[in-house]
Amino acid sequence: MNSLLTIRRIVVAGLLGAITILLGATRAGFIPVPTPLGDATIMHIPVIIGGILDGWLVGAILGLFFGIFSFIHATIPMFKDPLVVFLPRILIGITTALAYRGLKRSNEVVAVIVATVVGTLTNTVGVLGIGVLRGYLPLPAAVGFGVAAAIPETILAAIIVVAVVLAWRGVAARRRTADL
Amino acid sequence: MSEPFIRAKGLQYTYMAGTPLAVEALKGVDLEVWPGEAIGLIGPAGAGKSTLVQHLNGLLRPRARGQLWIDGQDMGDPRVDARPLRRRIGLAFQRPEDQLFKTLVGDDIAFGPRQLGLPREEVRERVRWAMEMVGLDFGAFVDRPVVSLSGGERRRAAIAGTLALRPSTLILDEATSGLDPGGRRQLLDLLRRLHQEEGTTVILVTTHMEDLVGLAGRVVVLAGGRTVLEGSLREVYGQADLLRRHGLGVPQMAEVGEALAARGCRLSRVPLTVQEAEEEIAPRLGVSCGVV
Amino acid sequence: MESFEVFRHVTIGQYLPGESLVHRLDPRAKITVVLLLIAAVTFSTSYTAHLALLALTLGLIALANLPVRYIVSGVKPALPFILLLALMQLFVYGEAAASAVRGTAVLWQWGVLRVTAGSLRLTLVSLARLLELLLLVSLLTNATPTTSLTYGIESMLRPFARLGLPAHELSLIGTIALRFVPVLGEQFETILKAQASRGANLRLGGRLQFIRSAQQMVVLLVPLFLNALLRAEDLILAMEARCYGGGRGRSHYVRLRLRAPDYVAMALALVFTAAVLAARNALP
Ligand SMILES: Nc1ncnc2c1ncn2[C@@H]1O[C@H](COP(=O)(O)OP(=O)(O)O)[C@@H](O)[C@H]1O
Ligand SMILES: [Mg+2]
Repeated sequence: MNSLLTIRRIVVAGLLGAITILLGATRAGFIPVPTPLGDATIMHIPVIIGGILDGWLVGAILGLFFGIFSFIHATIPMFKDPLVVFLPRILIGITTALAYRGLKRSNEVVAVIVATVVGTLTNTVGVLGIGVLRGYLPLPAAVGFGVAAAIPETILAAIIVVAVVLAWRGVAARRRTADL
Repeated sequence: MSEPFIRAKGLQYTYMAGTPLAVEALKGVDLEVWPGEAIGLIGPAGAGKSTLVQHLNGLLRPRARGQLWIDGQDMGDPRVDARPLRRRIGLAFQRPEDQLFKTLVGDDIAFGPRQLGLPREEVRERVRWAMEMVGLDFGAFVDRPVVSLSGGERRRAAIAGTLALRPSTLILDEATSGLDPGGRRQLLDLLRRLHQEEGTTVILVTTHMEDLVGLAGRVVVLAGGRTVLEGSLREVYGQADLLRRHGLGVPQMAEVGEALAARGCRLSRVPLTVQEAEEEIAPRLGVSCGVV
Repeated sequence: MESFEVFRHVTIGQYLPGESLVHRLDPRAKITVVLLLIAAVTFSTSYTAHLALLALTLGLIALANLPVRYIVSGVKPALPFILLLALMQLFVYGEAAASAVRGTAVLWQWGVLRVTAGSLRLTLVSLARLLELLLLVSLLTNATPTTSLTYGIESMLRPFARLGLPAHELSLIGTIALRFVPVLGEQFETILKAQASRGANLRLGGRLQFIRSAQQMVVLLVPLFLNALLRAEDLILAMEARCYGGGRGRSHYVRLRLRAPDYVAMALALVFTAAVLAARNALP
């Protein structure tokens, strides 16, 4: 048995991968926004959850799933560039896991939120940054698109990831009691 | 008599219609339910019971063939909005896991009342009431994460979530499975109380026919997507052969009656409970048991 | 009228049993053919190439006896997005498209809206690509049982295993993911039903309108994730209980062997793809 890819990691990556396929195949995970880049995304959410719950390797594998779907659905040349499509997505899982691991001792909730922000920004900055470096779009435009995409993507991801991870861990959230 | 509250005629339903994976779950169901009635719905696994009850609160709608009226509305008509109906017709799903989608028990049970737009205090009261009804201690369970509940506790929480809407019709899909004998008795008592004291219409799906004794005035048997038998408990249990042919069990007391009949000792009625069997059998034994 | 069968249209990962020539090909041959054709789809921008690709993929689907209507219904939920995107490409990105793809000639203009030969090409090629990819992925997953797909991927990755790549584990992840797509799709429908049956206002009128409101998305996705994690836990227990020990030293029940039809299929795909790519700037 591979010591890094334990049964747990294989299965968790498989099931979160299934959600990625579900969101990707129906395109429910890509929300069209009227910029030339096309989509805002929630496809990074399974990647972040996998990275937090089961470490960087699971995160990286899920990032690969995400990359495959952006590649398949890509309609503009920038997203047919494997460097743009795959590298940042794989990195999402890794940065998320590292941020979470670094912070979880101090405060679980803060760690989850920070890791989510780090993961989301890895995606936005990574994709647009590499896009600029490879000459697909000018820097000012990239900054504009980046801010427009990152804000909703981060907020939505943070809400969902916090709810899922804390419920799963059974850890005290902001509120430990039902809202009654 | 008044109009039936629910009326299905030749109801059909196909999952995944138009794909190679299509499954014809309902092939022709006839059913009438009057307001204030309690009926039992029995049938082997895969008979289409869950598919049928999902029609009865408007989750699934008749598409091509077959008709369904609920409270005078033609559910085959796409213009009919099923949402108001669902708030009056509560459905507890077969798998409680499928139904509990909030993180904490209290929040989950409060989901329905919140959708009704009730004030905070009343939501809380409803939750407390519903939990008491199903025997979940409010203080101990309201803040528990759903994932930490046992099977039986999940079942109770799911039923409480349905009760909290205070529906005038209550449909429970195999709600007694997963409960221990005590929990089962408690739930059946609750249904009887709601039915008799509050006039709630009850539709109980079950594979344990014993559950229906003392509750359901009428039993409908579903097999292979069709209604194959309908009648009083005693009439249905009298058809032991037909029930067995469809893969259904027969209550033990009815079997005792049957076994005696095979030996030429015909009882005057099909016994449904231990007490009835005793009343039927003891006089023939010629002993005085002190009962009756 | 609401419909809860949202993911009825997820056709990927759904094995449809059959006896066709495509069904009987070795999974490795099928994977190779499909990957080659995906490369052709991805890197071609000419009308000729895409006409040929469409004809070829449709032909293969027919050969596999797969229902085209079922597969194409897979894009139904995404149709509004696809159309929106197509319109934006056609009218708004004339400038960008003109430089990216050959064709600077302006075909039509009205105010800021402008259609160039390049943007028209980009739009049509994008639509063709979407369709071709859908058909190709379906061809592979609808005509190959998941187990044999796993064996195929695993044995193709095996050369890399010497470099330390966990071939067996990775193919297992892929198989679990594909196998659970329909399961979780159904679960998602159940969550929708559970909320609707307790009075939620889901506004499911149009297709996939539920993603409209972020709040609704949270309420739907959180239970979906938790359910997936619960299922993962069950599966882990089941695998450990059966002493699952990974790929090493394990003997396969299925012995894969490439036969003549497999080699023919791979050779034809290779020739086709090479031809399309070699001529990609020459073809109209
Ligand atoms: N969501 C679904 N998608 C496809 N087929 C289904 C679905 N739900 C149930 N079925 C099929 O419909 C038939 C009837 O199922 P069901 O109504 O659950 O029966 P019962 O509740 O009596 O066991 C079965 O063959 C089952 O496999
Ligand atoms: Mg059922």
